[in-house]
Amino acid sequence: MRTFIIAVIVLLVIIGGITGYYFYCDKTVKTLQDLSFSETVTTGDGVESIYAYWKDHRFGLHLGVDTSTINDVEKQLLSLRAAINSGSDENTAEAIELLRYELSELRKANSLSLENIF
Amino acid sequence: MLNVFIRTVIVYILLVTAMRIGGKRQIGELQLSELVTALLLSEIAAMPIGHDAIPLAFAVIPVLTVICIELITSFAVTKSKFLKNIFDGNPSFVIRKGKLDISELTKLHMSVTELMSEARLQGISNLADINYAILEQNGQLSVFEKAEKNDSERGIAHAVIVDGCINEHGLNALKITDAALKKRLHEKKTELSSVFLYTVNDAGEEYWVFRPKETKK
Repeated sequence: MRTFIIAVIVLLVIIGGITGYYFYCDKTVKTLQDLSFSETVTTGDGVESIYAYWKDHRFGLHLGVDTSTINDVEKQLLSLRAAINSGSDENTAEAIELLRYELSELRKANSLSLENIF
Repeated sequence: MLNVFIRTVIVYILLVTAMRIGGKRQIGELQLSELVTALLLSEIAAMPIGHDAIPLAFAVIPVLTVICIELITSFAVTKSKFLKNIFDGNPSFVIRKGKLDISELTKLHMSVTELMSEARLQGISNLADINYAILEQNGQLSVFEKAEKNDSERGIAHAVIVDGCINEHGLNALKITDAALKKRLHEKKTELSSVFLYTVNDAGEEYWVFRPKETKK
């Protein structure tokens, strides 16, 4: 009986933990998406703030998302930073679009959907 | 990660269902849910070892989930007859009061030669000596001999006809010709297709099992 109760408690903790983590990831990625659509994202300060937010939350995201998806987002952020520093509007626009795409893929990968389950 | 949790539960239910449909004999010495747990845990745990792009949580969470489900299932099965029937099933009486149940053998996907082999492994040379043979939920065969069996030296039983077909190996072991077998069938006023099992031991004692009339081959 004791083992059964412990198993139920552990299972509830797991469910609670991963549900909480799911909402944490969703909120983090949504914030990144909002930052990527802000007016200041094409400025040096704007991209640094989004990148700083990303660095603060990268480890947390890494716990539940596979490394290749994390690396893709990081790569696009660095590309955007490089494009803004180079002063090329064309490269900047392309980098922003790719970053938004990677963030939407990240949000999709973490979402609770039939597509992800099956 | 929520998806990984849901996948784990789905795969667990899937494996339990598959093993249950596959029958008792796949299980060996483990209980059904224990076997599923053992299969799952090794596969799950190996995933992040072989692929460092996979977060460790993708192994930790499913492993803990599987173990918790296994513990909860094991407890629930002892308390609920309904769940016990679903997970463990019931023992199957293959031989009951000395009579071989052909339909039960068919249901278990077990051939009569396998049954004879299992009986021999338990030290019983002749199916005719068995009072009860029960295939347990864990796939093991329990055998209870008849009290009145003759203890004289009778050797082992050789299958001559199995499921309506002549077993040449048995004929050669007993040095019986085809003609002699046909003559014996004629004496018994039966045909080959009506015989599910016909064995003869080294002392010449026969054991006949006929098909029910409606399932004749």
